[in-house]
Order: sequence, then structure tokens, then C-alpha cells
Amino acid sequence: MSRVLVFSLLGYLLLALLGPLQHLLRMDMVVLDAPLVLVLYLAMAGKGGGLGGTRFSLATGGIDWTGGLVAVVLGYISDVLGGGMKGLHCLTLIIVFLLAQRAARKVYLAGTLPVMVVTLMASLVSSMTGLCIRWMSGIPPTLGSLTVLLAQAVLCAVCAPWLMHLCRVVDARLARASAEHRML
Amino acid sequence: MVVPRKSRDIVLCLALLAVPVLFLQSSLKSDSQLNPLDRVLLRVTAPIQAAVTGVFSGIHRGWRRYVYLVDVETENEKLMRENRELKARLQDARRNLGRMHHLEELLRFRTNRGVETVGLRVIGRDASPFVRVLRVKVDRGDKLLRTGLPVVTAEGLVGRIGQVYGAYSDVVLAVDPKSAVDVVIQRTGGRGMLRGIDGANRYTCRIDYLLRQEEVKGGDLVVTSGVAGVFPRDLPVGRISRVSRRTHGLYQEVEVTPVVEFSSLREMLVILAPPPPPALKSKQRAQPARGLLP
Repeated sequence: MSRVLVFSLLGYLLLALLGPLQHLLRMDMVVLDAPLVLVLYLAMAGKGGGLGGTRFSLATGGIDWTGGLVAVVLGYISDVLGGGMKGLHCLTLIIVFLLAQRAARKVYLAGTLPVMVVTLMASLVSSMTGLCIRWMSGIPPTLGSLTVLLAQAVLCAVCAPWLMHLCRVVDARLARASAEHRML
Repeated sequence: MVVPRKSRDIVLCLALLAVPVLFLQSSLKSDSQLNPLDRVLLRVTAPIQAAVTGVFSGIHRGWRRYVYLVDVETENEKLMRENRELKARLQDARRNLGRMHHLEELLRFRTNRGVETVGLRVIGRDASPFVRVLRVKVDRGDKLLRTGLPVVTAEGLVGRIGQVYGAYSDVVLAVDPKSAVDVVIQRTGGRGMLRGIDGANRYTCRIDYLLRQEEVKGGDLVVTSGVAGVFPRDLPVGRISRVSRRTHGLYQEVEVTPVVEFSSLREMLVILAPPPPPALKSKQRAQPARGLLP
């Protein structure tokens, strides 16, 4: 449960920090989807937090619900802060989480580039899902919005290794605290 | 009862998906309604974002101002070049404005005095320090010009026409040693003859034949008397700059600084004809007049 709280808080802080930063950098259209990278990390790393570095084990066992809950919380927060359709980002994050967790059982990732490719694909899936839902609710996509989504996917892919490294540091810190607690 | 993992996973997957679907449904039904949780979240986040914006803005400003100065030199040179160009333009504009004011003054002078005039433009000046002559071009009506006609500006008397050659002419300034203008001290009414000072390194003149008993002092305005009909009367000529009374003799020595700035003269007027005489009432006697006025 503490992992859910910590990662939700981390995602919230990233959202709160990146909003003003991107505004200052005049990146109002292309936004770094930090919650997506966090959820992707949780889906790929599983309960154990991966193998360290940019290596992710083939997750075993059932679905790790930590990532699922974090996806719900972060999706909700980003929907509220973003001011868009409530539940949209939440749904796309959960879909990405479930797909990534499913894929993590069969794929072994090692190195920065594979992580970036997976993040790019995950971001595209998330964006396309969001686009489809918006289309179904009466907002048709434009060529401009597709370009923006592609740029956003690239940005997420570029930033993913650093964000995942941060997540791993947090995970390691949590694991150490848990071990110390057990020893006591 | 042990629930199989697969069934449990499916149920939990559906539960996970149901949450955002419910959110979406409610969002589509009632557009952008904030619940208390949303409000709390926004209220908590807004100050954090404001603080972050403040910090990042400060860093960004510091970076732009003190660290990232790559284009500053080029920009500085460009701005300096622009500044020089703008200064030159401003100077031109000021010069034109001054000239326009001067022309307006000349026009006002002609209207107020009701005299017939022709414009003159300075094209050169005599290089000799012993002769105070300007070379001018006549704007129009050069056939009307003749030697001896008075030349004025809005400030006062300039001199008179010397040689005339086609559309060009010489103007003998009032400060030329050969020039002689009958003048009156406006305050006292004392009369004298204004002449240029020979060989002086500045534009000054003196008043000859001003009686010793005339109580003139520095700053008194000297105007034309109008006697002899050459110059209109009451045209400002200069101000007394120095008075010297000897213990003997009939006259005093008075030096006059002209009101007209001869060194910066550009446009002037030549008076071709005096103003028409005022219509007299049947029982009114004509006032004694000087110069061109009847």
C-alpha cells in the first residue's frame, strides 16, 4: 500500500512540477505524460521492481495491483488538473497498464533503447485510445492533433529512461525501508 | 473458498476499467462539474504550481540575464547601429521642425504686418570678415527685387538688398560697416544711426549720434525709426549690450547686439511694399508717422 501512496505522490508532484516548467519552456502543446511512464514502469517492473538499471524481468504471477491503483489515482489527478474530460486519461492509463503487464510476461527488456521504444508505443496506444474516445464523444481528430500526439510520444520516449531511473531509486529506497522494518 | 487466479484477475481487470468508465459517463452527462475532492485537489495544487512557476521564472530570468549571453554582443551592435540611425533621424526631424517653426513665424510676420513680401533663401555668405553680406536665392518674383529693399525675419531686421542678379541677390546685413539704419531706443525714444563695427569678430554694431543725455542702459530694445522710408518702423534691430559715456562730447558710445542670429539664417523675407494705409474716419486726424507709413 505504501508503494501505491509513494508512487501516486511522486506522479502528483511530477504533474505539479512539469506543468509550470513546460509552460515556461513554451511547450504548451506537446506535454510530457509522466503518469504514463510511471504506470508503464510499475507494469513492467512488477512487484519486485525489476532487475535494476534498465532491465526488466519477465514478470511472473498474477496482475500487480499496485500499478493498477496508481494508474487510477494518477489518471484521476491528471484529469482534474488537466481540466479535460474526466476519466479519459484514467481509462487510457489503465488500458496501457493492463497491456504492458500482459506484455511484460513475454518480453524481456534490457537497455535504454528498448525502454524508449516500448514507451513510444505505449504513449501512442494511450494517445490513440484517448483520441478514439474523444471521437466517440463527438470531437473528431485533426491532422494537427495527430502530429502533436506523435511529438508527445517521442518526448515521453526520450524522457522515459530518466523517469524510470527515478522510479527505480524510489523503489530501492522503499525496499530498503521495508527490509529494515522487517529486521526490527 | 479459493478463487482461481485467472478469474480473480479478470474480475479485477473489469473493476479497474469500470472506474474510469463511470467517471467518463458522469463527465459526459454533466459537463465539467467539480466535486469536493476535485476542488481540494485543485486548491492544493495551485499554490504548488504558483511556487514552482516563481522558482523556475527566477532561474530562467537569471539564466537569460547572466549566463545565456550568446547573442548579446550581436544584438548590442545591432541596437547601437539602430540607435545611431534613430539619432540621425531625430536630428533631421528636429532641424525640420525648427525650420518649420521659423517659416511659420515668417508667415505670421507677413500676415500681422500686412506687407507684401518675397521669400529669400540663403545660399552662401561672403568670406571676408570686413564685409557682412549674404548671398540669397529669390523664391519667386525676382523681377520685383531692387537694391535697397529691406530684408527681415520674424525676429527683426536683417539688412537690405544689395546687388541683384537674376534670381540671386546679395543682402547687406545691418551689421555691415557700410550699412546705416536710423534707429530709436524703444524705451527712451532717443534716436541714432546704427552701423556695423568694422573688423569685429562677431556680429555687433554701434549707434552713432545718440545724445549723451539719453539715459539708455544695457538690454534696451533698439527698433527702426522708419525715417527715410527705407525700413518699416518699429522693427526690432537689437539690444544694447554696452554703454560708454565720455566726460566730454555730444554723444555717447553704445554697442548693440542684433536680435537676429545671423550665423544661422536660412530663410528671410524681403519687403516689396509697405502695408496699405489705415482707413481714416472723417473727423480723425492722421497720426504723425515715421518711415513708410503715411
